[in-house]
Amino acid sequence: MHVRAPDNQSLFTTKDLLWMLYLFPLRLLALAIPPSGLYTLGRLLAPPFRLTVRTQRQRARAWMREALPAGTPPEALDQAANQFVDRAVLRALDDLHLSRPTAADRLPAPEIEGREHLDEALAAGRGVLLVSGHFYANRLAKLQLRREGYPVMSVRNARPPDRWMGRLGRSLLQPRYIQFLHGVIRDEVHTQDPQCTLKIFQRLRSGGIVNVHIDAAFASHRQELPFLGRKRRFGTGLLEIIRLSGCTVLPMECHGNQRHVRIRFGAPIGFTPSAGRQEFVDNNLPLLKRRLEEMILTRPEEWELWVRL
Amino acid sequence: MGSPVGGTPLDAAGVSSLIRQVFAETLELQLPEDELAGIHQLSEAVAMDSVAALQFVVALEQRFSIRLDEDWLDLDRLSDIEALTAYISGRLASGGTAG
Repeated sequence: MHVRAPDNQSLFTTKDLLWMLYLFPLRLLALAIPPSGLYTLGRLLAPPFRLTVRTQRQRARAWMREALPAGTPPEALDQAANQFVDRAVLRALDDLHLSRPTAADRLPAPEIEGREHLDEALAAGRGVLLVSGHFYANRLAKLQLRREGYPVMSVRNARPPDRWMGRLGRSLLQPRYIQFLHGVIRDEVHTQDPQCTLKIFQRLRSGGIVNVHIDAAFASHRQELPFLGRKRRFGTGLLEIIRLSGCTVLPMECHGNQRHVRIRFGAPIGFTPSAGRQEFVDNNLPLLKRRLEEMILTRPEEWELWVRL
Repeated sequence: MGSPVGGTPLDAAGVSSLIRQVFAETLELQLPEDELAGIHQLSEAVAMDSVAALQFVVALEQRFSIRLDEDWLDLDRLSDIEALTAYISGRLASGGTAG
């Protein structure tokens, strides 16, 4: 049973204000000014943004302290927390940039490591599930992959929980933001769609590629595991898709920004076969979770779920 | 007349009954046989979530030894027993098997 954290009951929050500025004046301005102007504007807006989200930054740093190896110097934690906030700004600018109709076509070629794993998995013809976490560069990486001839269907929560958002944000701005992101992502299915799993299965069965975030918050069936020094509930529906479809599962890491993005595919994940759903989850969810932890700890500043900004 | 299950050729009523049986097994429903037989839309019996629908598809494919066409990977279509029976019967008649 999925239990949502209680929503913020304020009518309007600072986050709502930031979203409103982002979705209306900034988005319209982004259509009119050149990309260099957009990123210059972003650099000017970054300091007030850092000030606005200082509480969230502190929370992110506190979790990083628990997750990163003992003895990590405080300066390294500060740096990771600062970069985490700055990456959020940069990603928001990348989204604005990529919402322009032809912007994705003009991106510099990505650096792809482990492409052979993807090619071999596609050649096997059973579909490829790219498992990743919520990394800032995901959207960019998938646009790049589409350009490289690997169209990837994204699975996305159309109503991600956000405790910093007020009632106005939830009812008016979040749907607008989701719609805006759809213009960037294009090829996607929402987790709220009753047909979601069947659409994923359909894409896999036709030999296609689907990307799922292991750390997704929305799921009807979840299981709690220790994660980065805390507890987190993980959706188990993904494991059932893997078990029943027989698709190849590859870990995917993405780092960078629109100037340079690096995509790394790992070797196929070997799952322990199991006859039943729960047994398969018990045997294999910890494995997926460990892969995700490894990815996050390699580049903590790139993971966006330390706290919602 | 469809292909046999355990040597017995399946007619439409047999296919329909088997679909209901697969559905009940997949969703672990404890329904009496007459109640199950009275269901025309599977959604009347229980709301299938997205993962359950996938389990149902895979179970149907295994039971009838067919591969459902892509346009049948749809909750509404899967829920309509009459239409599903006609489709599977047609597939069995054209060479699929049930087992």
